[in-house]
Amino acid sequence: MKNIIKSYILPAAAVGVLAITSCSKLDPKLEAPNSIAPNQAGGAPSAPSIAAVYEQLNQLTGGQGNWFGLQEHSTDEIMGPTRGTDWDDFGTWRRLHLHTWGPDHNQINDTWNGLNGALFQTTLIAETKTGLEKAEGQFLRAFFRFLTCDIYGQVQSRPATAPASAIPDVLTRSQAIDAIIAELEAAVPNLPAYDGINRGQATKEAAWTLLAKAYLNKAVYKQDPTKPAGPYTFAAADMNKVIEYCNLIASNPKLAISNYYWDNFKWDNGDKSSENIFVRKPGGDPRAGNGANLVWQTCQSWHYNQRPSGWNGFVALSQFYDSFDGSDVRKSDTLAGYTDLVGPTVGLLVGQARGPVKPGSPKEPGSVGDPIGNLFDRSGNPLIFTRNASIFFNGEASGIRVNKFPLNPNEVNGGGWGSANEFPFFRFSDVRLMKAEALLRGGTTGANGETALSIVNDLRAKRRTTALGSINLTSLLAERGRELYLEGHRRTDMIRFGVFNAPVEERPNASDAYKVVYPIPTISLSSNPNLKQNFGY
Amino acid sequence: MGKLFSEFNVRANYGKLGSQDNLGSYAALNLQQTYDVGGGPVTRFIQQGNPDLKWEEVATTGFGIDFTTKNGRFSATVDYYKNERTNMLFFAPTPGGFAPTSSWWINLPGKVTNKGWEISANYKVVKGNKFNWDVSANVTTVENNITGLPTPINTGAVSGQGLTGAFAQTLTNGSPIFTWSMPVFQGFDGNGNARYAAGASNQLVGTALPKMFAGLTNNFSYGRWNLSVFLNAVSGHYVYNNTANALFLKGSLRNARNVTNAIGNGPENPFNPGSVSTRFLEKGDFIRLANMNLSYAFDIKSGKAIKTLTAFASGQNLALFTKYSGIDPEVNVDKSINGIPSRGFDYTQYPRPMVITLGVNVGF
Repeated sequence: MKNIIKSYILPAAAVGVLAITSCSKLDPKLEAPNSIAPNQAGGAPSAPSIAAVYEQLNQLTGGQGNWFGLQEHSTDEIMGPTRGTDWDDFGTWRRLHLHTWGPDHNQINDTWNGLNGALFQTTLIAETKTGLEKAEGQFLRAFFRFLTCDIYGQVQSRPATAPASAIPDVLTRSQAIDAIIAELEAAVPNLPAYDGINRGQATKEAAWTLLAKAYLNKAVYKQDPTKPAGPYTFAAADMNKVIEYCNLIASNPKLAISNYYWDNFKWDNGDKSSENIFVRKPGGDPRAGNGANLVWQTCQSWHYNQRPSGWNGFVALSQFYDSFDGSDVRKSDTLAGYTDLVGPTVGLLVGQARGPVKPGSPKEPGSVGDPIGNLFDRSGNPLIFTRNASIFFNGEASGIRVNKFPLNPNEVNGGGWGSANEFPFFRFSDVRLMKAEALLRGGTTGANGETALSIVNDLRAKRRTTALGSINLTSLLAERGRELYLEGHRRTDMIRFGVFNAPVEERPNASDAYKVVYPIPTISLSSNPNLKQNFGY
Repeated sequence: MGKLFSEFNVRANYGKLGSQDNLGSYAALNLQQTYDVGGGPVTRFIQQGNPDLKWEEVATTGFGIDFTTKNGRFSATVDYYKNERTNMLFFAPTPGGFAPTSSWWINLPGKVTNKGWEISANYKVVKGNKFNWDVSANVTTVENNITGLPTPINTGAVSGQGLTGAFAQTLTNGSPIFTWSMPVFQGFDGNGNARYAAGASNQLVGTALPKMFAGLTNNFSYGRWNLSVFLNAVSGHYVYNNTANALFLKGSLRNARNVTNAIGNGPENPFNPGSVSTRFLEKGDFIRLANMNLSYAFDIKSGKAIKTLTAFASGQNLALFTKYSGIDPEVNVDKSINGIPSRGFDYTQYPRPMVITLGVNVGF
């Protein structure tokens, strides 16, 4: 009888009966099982392959959460509305949009762990390899350091030779941006020039783009940590460096603004884009490893009855939708060979949803190949996407849906998994807009006859919309939003332009200034005493 | 003493036991993985080893007495136990997360203490020629506490649509292991939306670890008849009804799924999200009629081919007395996060069967 009772108790309690026989002294070391790997336990590991380190980029392009979530849901582009019992998700999306996160937020924790895992792996390459591989490792470490610096304001660093139990050093935001710039400049001579084919790898142009970003944002990262939201002082010398690097990139004849915006995002953007400088490919690549598919970019937003069937989640804010001119191809366009097969236009989706309809059952969704018609929701009402959504309470048709990375129609019936969309971290249009911004912010050399207005209007002409009569920082930020939405840039841009805390749809009050930097996760604060919680948290 | 007891023992014990049972094969080693992406072998560094790992240790202290009264009708055992677990092998955060994985195996600097009493007693209530009645009872108490953890560690993943990333349990200093941590539900407002105390912040609200286990056995025999009845009871803990959290919400009804009658007719707004809260946390106290056995031994004359013949009817899990709203509060569906164990979750658990057995035992 006693044994029956015992079995309910935790093993910790049950040991009471077992431990009566005493042993004199305990062996302090574990018996290690036979090694299946050449490394000894805990010693400095031998460096992984460069392809395995490129695969660290998959954490950025592998799903709708973490880095992408932190960069987009906190901004004026998208939000994750709760739909009855769906998408509450412990408030994780809502807290990002409402700026009410804390150091226990799961995506803040997971993103930190992911980025620091990448910093660890890239350090092994950057510090133990030579030549091209070392330069690639340096570029990748600088990229992950830049993201960490931007999101968390503190960057951990530890030599590749240090033991695993060694507590990492911490670079302040100011130290980090200096280290990033120095490492990129050291890497550039050993990197190949961009030739279009090597867009999945580190190139000179990719490094220059990151250098331009580093100098453009330097004032933000050099700011007094107790006044993280500014106002920032952009040095003319830094802006001149931005222009210098943008000009170097523009001198590569392989790079030009694409004639059609959606060539940069649709399923064959690998062949069609002339803008994508540094991308993550979905498939296997001998140099860059196995990539991640972008089906989530569609499914994170689409309704169940669209094809592929979505998760009925995230929506674009109506004020963002309204920032486009009617003719702007980036807002909406009918894509030949796509819209006629899958239903939706590309861009932002409002109003009656269209898609394949099952022949003979007009209220049921069909498959690609069936005639395109109006779609219905799960209750049989016309599926009409509304302009507005509530962050808390919604029906299933609320909100503007996004279609930024159109999937290959031939793959949609299989869920879209075979679609080959590549995710661009850096695009040439971003480089052009960075030059325009540097000129607006006091850059004086290297204009080469261009002005901020001429650069923006050249771009707008390609996007089939009207020229602006004048340009200022506010309209330039809006242009960056229209050009670069859902590419992971928006939070960084809004902070640099000083409007990140301003009210947006469904967040009617300004948030606290310290929210421009995310907190260090509680768990990491205790596992590395060199980390100090960011100001305000 | 001799006048009172026919038997009296005093016991004391102390011991230390080392173990690495928590640790899987290769868990302490650096691991690499080699694979092919089409351009020759590629090597990934996938696990950080820890060369400093030691056994975890449990130090057990106990003392107790056994006695039987002079008339032999009452006997009892009383034990006190205290286990202190140190150097616990734990899948804990890597320093700053600066590693291939966010967690690795370490010896936790904290200590988990379990202490309590184990008491069992037997009383021969009636001892006669034909009718006998024995009562056995036992009680175990558990008091658990954690100290020295560097940081609270969350576990207990809550399952269900719209609950991605949700957790309900925490290991934190000064509390028992498997302490529940969640917002405190305060009913619905006029619109049918949930209200929570303290700005919906997480509160420590009891533990999944029972404070007491008890059992009671009655044995009756009358001539060739024998009846034994076993009841057991567990109390002092809470169970998280994840089944209700995931399925029994007004919003599920709106999405054309079945809910319980109480939810369907309740005040909840169909747009109210089913956030984790004490709304779904319930006391897990129960008494169970766990086992009952009735038998009759036939009188067999010696020299026959059959030596003994007993007919019996026995039943298990015959009755459950509890206020828990789910099927059975004696439940523990694994909801561990990152290898940190959880306890006390009810999530679409298959019901415990009631078993009735009729039989005949024949001895040759």
